[in-house]
Formats: sequence, C-alpha cells, structure tokens
Amino acid sequence: VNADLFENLRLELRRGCVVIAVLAALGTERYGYTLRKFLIERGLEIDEGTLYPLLRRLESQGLLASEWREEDKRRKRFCRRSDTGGQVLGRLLDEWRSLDASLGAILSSEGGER
Amino acid sequence: MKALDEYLDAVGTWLPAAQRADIVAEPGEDLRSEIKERESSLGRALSDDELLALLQRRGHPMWVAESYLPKRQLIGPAMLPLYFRALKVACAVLAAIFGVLMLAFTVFVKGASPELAQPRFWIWQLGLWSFAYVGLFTTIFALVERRQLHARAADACDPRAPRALPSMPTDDETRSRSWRPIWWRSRGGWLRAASWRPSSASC
Repeated sequence: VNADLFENLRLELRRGCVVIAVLAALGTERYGYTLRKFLIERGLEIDEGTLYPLLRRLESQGLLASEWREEDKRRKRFCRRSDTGGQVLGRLLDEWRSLDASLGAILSSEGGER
Repeated sequence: MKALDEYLDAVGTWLPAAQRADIVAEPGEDLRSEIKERESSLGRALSDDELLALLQRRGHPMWVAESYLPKRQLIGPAMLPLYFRALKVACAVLAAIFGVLMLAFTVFVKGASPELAQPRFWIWQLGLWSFAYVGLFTTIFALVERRQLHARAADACDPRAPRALPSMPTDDETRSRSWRPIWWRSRGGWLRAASWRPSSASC
C-alpha cells in the first residue's frame, strides 16, 4: 500500500478522535505542554503544530475556556473544557460508540476485516 | 536561549501583526517547558547542538506559523474546474486569432511593416495577451470566490425559494438552443453558476 495514501487516510481517521481526546482530557485544567504529554503518555501522539491550533479553534467555538497565568515564573495558557464543550463531548462519544458498533456489525457480517 | 528567541522571532515574521505576540507565546511556552524538562532529566543545561536539534525537530518557522493560520485559497475546489475551462477556451480563442493574424501578415499581406511579417512578433503578442487573460480570469474568479465565501458565511438558504437556484430550461428552450455550439450553450450556465448567491429575500 502506498505509504502517503495510508498516512492521509490514517490522519483523516484520527482527526475526529483527537478532538474527542482533547475535550475529554480538558475536564481537568491543563496547559498546552502538560496536555500534550498527557495524551502522548496514553498512546495518542500529537504534535504541537496540531494541538495548539486545535485548542484555539475549540476555544473560538466556545468548547474550551483558557487564560494566561503565571506558574514557575513563566506565563502559561491554561485550558479547561466549558459546559458547552462537555455537552458536545457527550454527544460525540455517543456518535463514536454508535459508529464503533456499526463498524463492528459490518466487519463481522463481512467475516473479518480482511 | 538566543537560538530559541531567534526561532520564535522567525515564526512571528510569518504571522499577522495583530496576532503575532499571542500566537508566538504558545510554541514559545511549549518549547521552554520541553527544554526545562530535558534539562532536569539530564541534570545540566542543554548544549547548543541539543537545543538546535530540538528546534529543528519542530520544523521550519514558516510551517509552524502556517499551522496557526486559517486555510485560504484564491480559487476554491468548486470553482477550479470552471476556471481551467474558462482559461482553456480563452487561450484557444487567442491562439486562433493570433494564428490567423500571423498567417495573414507573414504570407498574404504584402507591404506591411517588416516587424509584422515576423512570426516571433505574433508569438510574443500571443504570450503577452495570454498572460493578461490569465491575470484577468484569475482576478475575476478570485472575486467571485470571495463573494461566494461571504454568501456561504450568511445564514443558511432555503433551496425551495425559486430565486435561489438557476431555473431549468423547458423542453422547447432546450430544443431551440441545441444548434448553438457547446461553449456558447454552456456560457450561460457558467455565468449563472459563477454569479449565484443566496438572495437576501430567501436567506
């Protein structure tokens, strides 16, 4: 399989999952670097060029709230999921579970994924 | 930390002035956190080479800045095929006109200025006119694209509103148009498609 093709499809598949993961992780207040580490430690590799623009987008959509605060003599931007973000996360999780169930049913009726 | 400051300055040069400080602060803080963590695990300050390797891993400042900017395009994917078709037709018409003129002045017209009898004069003219047409078409399509973007940003339209969509030709109209060349027939469609926007009454 062409490596670029697979990489594009993989990124496409991951895109929505990253939003769910970020919204879920920001139930606790975190700043960018600790959020990235939190996700990486749990197996979700995400680079800075993806995470920070995503945080900005989610904040502009009202799903996160953020504020710059000083910690260890450095200014850091702390983010936390908003109430709207919590509601959206719940609906996205329902959708994800429904998709997972549908995919499971499709794959089992086709006799496995290969 | 001179290399770090220079790197962040370089990222900032690719960003709009109004957002520069706010955006640059984010990768800046992330890099400082990573440097601090590495230094505490090593028990010493990072060497210049280690710092440069870390910055290199983040990528070119232009790409870092690009990831924060909204994705914009002069002509969107919906308009692009139409744009290429329009360019092809314009270039073909220009090539035909200049081909005829070149043939006329180099073969048939006697006593014209020697410059006009040179094929390279007409090839040069064709190049200039094609360049001008590409510029003109690009500008027109970019303006239409911009207009469409504004329209899309407005409230959702009601597609049932009769003015919102181009009307379908009746059977009689279709028959009466059937003799026209394809490019002529499609011209009206192009214009309608290019200039369509939700009417303020229906949206």
